[in-house]
Amino acid sequence: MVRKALGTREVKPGHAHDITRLNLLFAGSSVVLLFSVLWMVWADYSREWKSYQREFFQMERDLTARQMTEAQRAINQNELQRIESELAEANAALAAEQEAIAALEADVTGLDDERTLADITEREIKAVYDSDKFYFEETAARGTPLGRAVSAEDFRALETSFFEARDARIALDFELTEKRAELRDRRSRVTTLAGDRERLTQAVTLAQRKLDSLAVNFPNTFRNLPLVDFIDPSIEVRQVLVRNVTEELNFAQVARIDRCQSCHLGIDNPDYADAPQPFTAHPDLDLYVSRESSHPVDDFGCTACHGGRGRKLSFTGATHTPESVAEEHAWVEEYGWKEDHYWDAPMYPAGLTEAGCIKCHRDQVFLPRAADLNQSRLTYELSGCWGCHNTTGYEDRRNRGPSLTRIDQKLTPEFAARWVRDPKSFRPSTWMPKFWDLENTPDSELQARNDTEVAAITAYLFDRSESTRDYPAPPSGNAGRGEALIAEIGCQGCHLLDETDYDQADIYRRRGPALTGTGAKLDPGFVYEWIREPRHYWDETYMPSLRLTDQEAADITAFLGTLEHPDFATADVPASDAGELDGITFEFLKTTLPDAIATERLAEMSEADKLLFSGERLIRRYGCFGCHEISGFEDAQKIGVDLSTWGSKMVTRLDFGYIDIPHTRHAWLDQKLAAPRSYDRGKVKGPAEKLRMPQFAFTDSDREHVVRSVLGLVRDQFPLEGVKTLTGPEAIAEGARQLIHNYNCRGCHIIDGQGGGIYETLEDAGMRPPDLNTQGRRTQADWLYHFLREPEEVRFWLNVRMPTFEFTPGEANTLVSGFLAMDGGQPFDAEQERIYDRAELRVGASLLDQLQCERCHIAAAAGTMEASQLAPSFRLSGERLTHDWIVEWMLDPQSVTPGTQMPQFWPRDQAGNLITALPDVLEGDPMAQMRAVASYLMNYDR
Amino acid sequence: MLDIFKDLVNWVSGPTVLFTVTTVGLLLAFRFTAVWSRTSAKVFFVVLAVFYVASMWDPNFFLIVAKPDNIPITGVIFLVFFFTWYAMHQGIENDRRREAGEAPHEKKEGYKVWVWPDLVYTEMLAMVLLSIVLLVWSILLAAPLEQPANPADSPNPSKAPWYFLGLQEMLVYFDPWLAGVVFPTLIIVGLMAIPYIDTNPKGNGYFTFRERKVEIVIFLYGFLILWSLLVISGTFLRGPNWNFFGPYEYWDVHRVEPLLNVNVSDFFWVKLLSQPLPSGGFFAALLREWLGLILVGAYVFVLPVVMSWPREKLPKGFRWLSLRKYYEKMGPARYYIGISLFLMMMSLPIKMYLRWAFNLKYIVAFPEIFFNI
Repeated sequence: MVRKALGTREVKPGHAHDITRLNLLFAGSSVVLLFSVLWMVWADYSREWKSYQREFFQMERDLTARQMTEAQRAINQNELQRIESELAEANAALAAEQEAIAALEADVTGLDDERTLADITEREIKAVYDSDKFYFEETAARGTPLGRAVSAEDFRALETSFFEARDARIALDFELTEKRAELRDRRSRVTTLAGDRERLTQAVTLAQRKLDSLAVNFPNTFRNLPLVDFIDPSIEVRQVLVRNVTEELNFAQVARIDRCQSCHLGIDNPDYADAPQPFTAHPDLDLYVSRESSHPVDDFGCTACHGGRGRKLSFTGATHTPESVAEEHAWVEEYGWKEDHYWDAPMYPAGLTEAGCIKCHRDQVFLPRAADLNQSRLTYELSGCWGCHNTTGYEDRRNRGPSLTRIDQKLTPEFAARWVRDPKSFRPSTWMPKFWDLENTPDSELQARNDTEVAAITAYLFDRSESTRDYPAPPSGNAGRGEALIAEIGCQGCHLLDETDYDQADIYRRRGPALTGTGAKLDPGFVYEWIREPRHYWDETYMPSLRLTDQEAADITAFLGTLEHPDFATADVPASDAGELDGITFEFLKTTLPDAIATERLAEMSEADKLLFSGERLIRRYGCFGCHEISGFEDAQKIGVDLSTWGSKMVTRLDFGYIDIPHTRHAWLDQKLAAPRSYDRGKVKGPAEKLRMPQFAFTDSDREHVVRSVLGLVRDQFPLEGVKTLTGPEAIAEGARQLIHNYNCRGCHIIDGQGGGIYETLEDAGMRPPDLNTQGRRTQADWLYHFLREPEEVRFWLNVRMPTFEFTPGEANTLVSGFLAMDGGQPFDAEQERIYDRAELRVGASLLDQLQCERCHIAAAAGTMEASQLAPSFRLSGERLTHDWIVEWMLDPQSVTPGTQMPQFWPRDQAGNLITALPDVLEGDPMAQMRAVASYLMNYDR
Repeated sequence: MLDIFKDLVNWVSGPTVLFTVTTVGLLLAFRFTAVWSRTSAKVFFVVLAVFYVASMWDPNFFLIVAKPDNIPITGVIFLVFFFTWYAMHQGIENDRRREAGEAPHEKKEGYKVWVWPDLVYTEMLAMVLLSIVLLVWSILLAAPLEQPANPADSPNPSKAPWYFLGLQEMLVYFDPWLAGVVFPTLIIVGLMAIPYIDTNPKGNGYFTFRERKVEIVIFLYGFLILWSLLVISGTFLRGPNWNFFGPYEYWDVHRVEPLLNVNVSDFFWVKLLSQPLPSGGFFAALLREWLGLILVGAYVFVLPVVMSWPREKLPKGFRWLSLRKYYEKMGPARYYIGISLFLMMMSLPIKMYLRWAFNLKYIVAFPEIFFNI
C-alpha cells in the first residue's frame, strides 16, 4: 500500500536512495516533528494546578460579583443622593467662578514654566559652583591642584550668581504654592464631596477593580498563553518561603518552599469555608494560616505541620495520604493517586494531622486548642508506652504502674499470678497489657510454658517484696452508705465503677483503676488504710485524700468488699511445670555458658532457685520494671525501641513481616498496636527472639491516639527562631498544666475548656464541680493558695469534695501562679486595699436587694430549690473573689460558665450597648451599677 | 506449564548459568557461522520479541522492564543483537564471496554514492527521526524526580547509571580499587591501544570474519559477554542487596542469600594446614598471603612469557597455551602489551568461576591496607 502510494522505487546511478522517496519521508517526518514539538509545548504547559487556578478564578468572579451586588445594596442611597445633589450644587457654584479659575490656572501654568527654567539655570550654575568650590578649597589648602587654580574673586562672583539663581527659583516656588493653594481652596467643597462619595462606594469600587483584574479579556488570556506565560502570567505558582521551620537536606537545615497554595487557593479566605476541595478555607483560620493567627502561613507554610513535599505541584507528588481505603480508592479514581515513596515525610492523613503539632510543642503537656492531640498524648502516657520505649519528654516521670516493692502487703500471690497471666480477665479496662497467650505464645501450644513463666515472675516479685504486714480489720461499715458515698464524693472523677462500655467513658476517668472486683483483689484492712491515707502505702501515688471520716472510710470499705469477681477468683492459678521450668532455666543459663556447664548448674539448682532465677530473667526480658518499681531492677534499661524520633524512621526500616498492609508508618503502627506480635507471623523464632510487645486493650480510637502521638515524634530540628519558645506567662502556666495533668484535675473540673470527666456521672448540672474558666482572674491568689492546700467549703450543696492533694507549698504556688498566668490575673491587687465609698456600698446593697441576688446566693439549703439554682454565699466573696472578676461575671455569666443559671441582669441591645433595668440608679450607668454591686460584695462580711 | 517455563527462565537467568550459556553459545556461533543467516536472525528476533511482549503479562517482569530508567536496556538488547548480527552477517557473506573469487560486497559497482544528497540527506533524516523519538519518549516517560539524596538512607538496590552497571557487577567479584579504578582505566587504555596492537590491515573498508577471526572473537567476547551482558543483568536481574532475581521473581527486600566467601590464605592455612592465620606485622602478612601472591605473580608476570614459548617447550597438555605464532608475528612489545591486556580481561571470568566453584573471595587479601585481589 505505502509502496504503491510512494510510486515505484527509482534509484538513479550514483545514488543509494530514491530521492523522491527521501523528499516525501523528509516532509512526513518534519510534520511529525512539528507536532511532537507542539505536543511537548502543550505537555509542558498543561499542568494539574493550572486548571485549578482557572476554576478558582471563575469562583472568584462569581464571588466578587456577588460581593459587589451586596456592596451596592449596602450603600446608603439617601446619603449618596444627598452627596450627589450637594456635589451638583458645588459644581454649579464652581462653574460661576469659571473665569477666575481659568485665570488662576493660566497663572499656574505660566509660573510652572518659569520655575522649570529657573531650576535648570540654578542647577547649571550649581554644577560649576560645586566644582570650583573643590578647586578653590584645594588651592587655599595646598597650592594649585591638578594644574587648575581658582581665585577667591572668581569664586565669590560665582557664589553670588548661584545664590541669586537659587533665590529666583525659591521665589517662583513660593508664588506657585500660593496660587495652587488658592485654586485648591476654590475647589475644596467639590473635592471633599467627591471624597465622601468615593468612601461611600469604596467597597463597590474595590470589587469592581478586582472583577476587572479577573475578567476574561485579551490581556488576561494572552498573558497565560503557552510560551508567553513566563513574562507576567496571572496563572502562576504561589509559594511561601519558610525560613524558620526548616527541613533537613544532607545534614543542612534548608528553608521550606511550600507551593500548596497553587491549588489550595481559598485556604486563607473565610468566604471559601464551604467551597469544594482544593479551594476550601482552612477550618481554623483563627489559629492557622491567617496573618493574625499564631501560625501565619508566611512563617510556617503548610508542610511544617501537615508534612508532605511542599515543592511538588501534583496531587500525588505532594504526597497526600489517604485516611482510609475508601478514600484511597476515591483518590485513585479521581486524581490517579498512587503512593509516592520518594519522600520520607509524607503528609499526615487528615485525621492524624495534629501529630504535626508535637515537633514544636513537645514540651507542653497540654495544648488548649488541640483536643485530639491532648487525648492522644494522654493515651500514650496512660498506656505507659514510655515505660519500655524511651521518649524524650517522659524521662522524669514517676513509674506508670504501682510500685511492686511491697506487693506482699497488698495482694496474695494467687491473685498476682492470675492477674499477670491475663489482667483483662479481671478488669477489662485496665491499662496493664497482656503478655501471654498471644499470637506467638498461644496457650494451645505453650500453656505449660506460659504458666511457668508467670509463676516464676510472681515468685520473684513476692520473694523480693518487703515483709508481710497484717492490717487490722476495719470497723464495720454500711455497704449501702458506702455505695452512695462513692457515687457522690468524687471517686468517679478518676475511677470507673462500671466497666461496661469503658471505651465510651471520658478518658480522664480512666486515670485510676476501675473499682470493679476490688473485693476479690484487696484485703478490707488494706482498703481501709489506703482510702484514708493513700500515701501511707505508696508515697508517690497521685491518689488524694478525700478527708473521709472513719465511718465513711468503713462504709466505703464495706461497699468495695462487696465487689466480687467470682470467675476470676475461681480461675486456675498459673503453676510452674517442672519440665518447662528446667527448659526455661536452661535457656537462660545457656546464653552465657557452654551446654555442659549449664547442665551442671541446672542440676545444682533447687526448684525455688530455678523459679527465682528464671523470674528475674523473665522480668528483664519482658521489661516489667518499665512501669513498676521492682527490687533489683533499679538501674535496668528500657527494653523497647527508642520512640523519640520514631516519626522520622524510614518506612524501609520497618519489618512488615508477612502482613499485607499499606507500607506506611501509620499502618505499621496501627497493626503493631492491634496485634503486637503479628509481625512474627510465619517466622521461625526461638523464645528469646520473639516479639515481646504486650497486647493492650486499645479501642480503635485509642489506637488512633497512640499512632498520632508516636507519628509526631520526629527528628526535625529547627533554628531557634522556628521553635516554640514559651513566653514568661506561658512558661508559668505550663508548670501548672503539668500538675493539673499529673493530679488529673480534669477528672472533675473543666480547665482550658476540656475535662470534667465526672460530669457524665452527675446528671444534675448543679451538682458538678465548677468549670475553672477564668479561675486566674476569679479568685484572689492568697485564697486560692490556701484553698488548694486545705480545701474549704464554697458550695455547700455539693456532695463532691475537693480532695486534699497534700500539695507542697511549691506545687500550690505553681498552680496559683499558673492559673493567674493563664487568665491574665494579678497576684497582688490594689483593689483589695481600696477604701470604699460608703455611698457606693449603699447603692450596691440596695441593688443586691432589688435584683434579689440572695434568693440563690445563700449560705444554707432553703426550701425546695434545685442544686443548679443554688449559688455560693456572699460570705466568702471578700476574701475569695476579685472585684474585676465580679464585674466580668455579671457582665456576661454565660461566657464565664457556659450553661450557668445566673441571669444576665445587664443584657446588651442589638447595637451592643448595655441596658439597665434601673435607669434611676447611678444615672442609669450599667458599669457603675455593676461596680457598686461588686464593691458591696467585696465588703459583704465587714 | 507456564510456571515451569518461568522457573526455567529464572534458573537460566542466574549469573552462573547465564554467563556460561552465553559464553558457550557465542563461541559456538563463531564456530558454526551458518547461524548468522538472515532467517535465523528473523527467527531470533521474533522469538525475543514474543518472549518480551508475552512476559509483560507477568507483573514482576513488567515492573522492572517498564521502569522509565530501564527503557534504554530494552533498546540495548535489541540494538546490540541487530548490529552484531549485521556485522557478522556481512562479514560471512563477504567471506563466501572471497571464497568464490568475487570481490567483497562493498567493492561492487554502484556502492559508492554522493555525499549530497545521499549521505547528508539521510543524516538529516536520522536527526529528525531521532528528535521525534527523544521528544515523544521524554513526554510519555517523565523522568521521576526523586527526593534529595539522603546519605543516611541509600536506596536498595543502589544502582549506578545503566551504562556503569557492568562495572558495578564486577564489584561483586573484585575489590573496589580493581573493579572501580584499575579495570576501567585498563579498558579505556586497552581500547585506545587496539589500533597499535592489531596491525592486521585486512578488513579495512569491508566486513569480514575469517580474516580477523581472533580479533573479532576477543572483542565480541569482551563487549558482548563481559560488558553488555553484565549491564543487562545488572539492570534487570540484580535486586535489593544486589541479590540476583530472575525476571519473573518479586524483588523481596528481605530475601537472604548465603554469603560465605573465603580467601586463598584461609584455604591454605586453615583448611589445608588446620592452623590459624599467621598474624603480627608485615612479614606475617606476607607469609599468610604467599600462595596468593605467587599465583597472581605467575598469572601476571610468568604466564605471558611462558605463552610466548614454542609449543614443544611446553609440557604436554599445556601446549594449547602457546602463542608463539603471535609472538613472532607481532614482536615482543606488541605481544606483551596485548597479552597483558588480554589476561586482565580474562581475569574477570576466571575470578567469576572461582567464586562460583569455591566461594573464593580474594586470591590475595591485605585488608590492613585495603589491598585485595
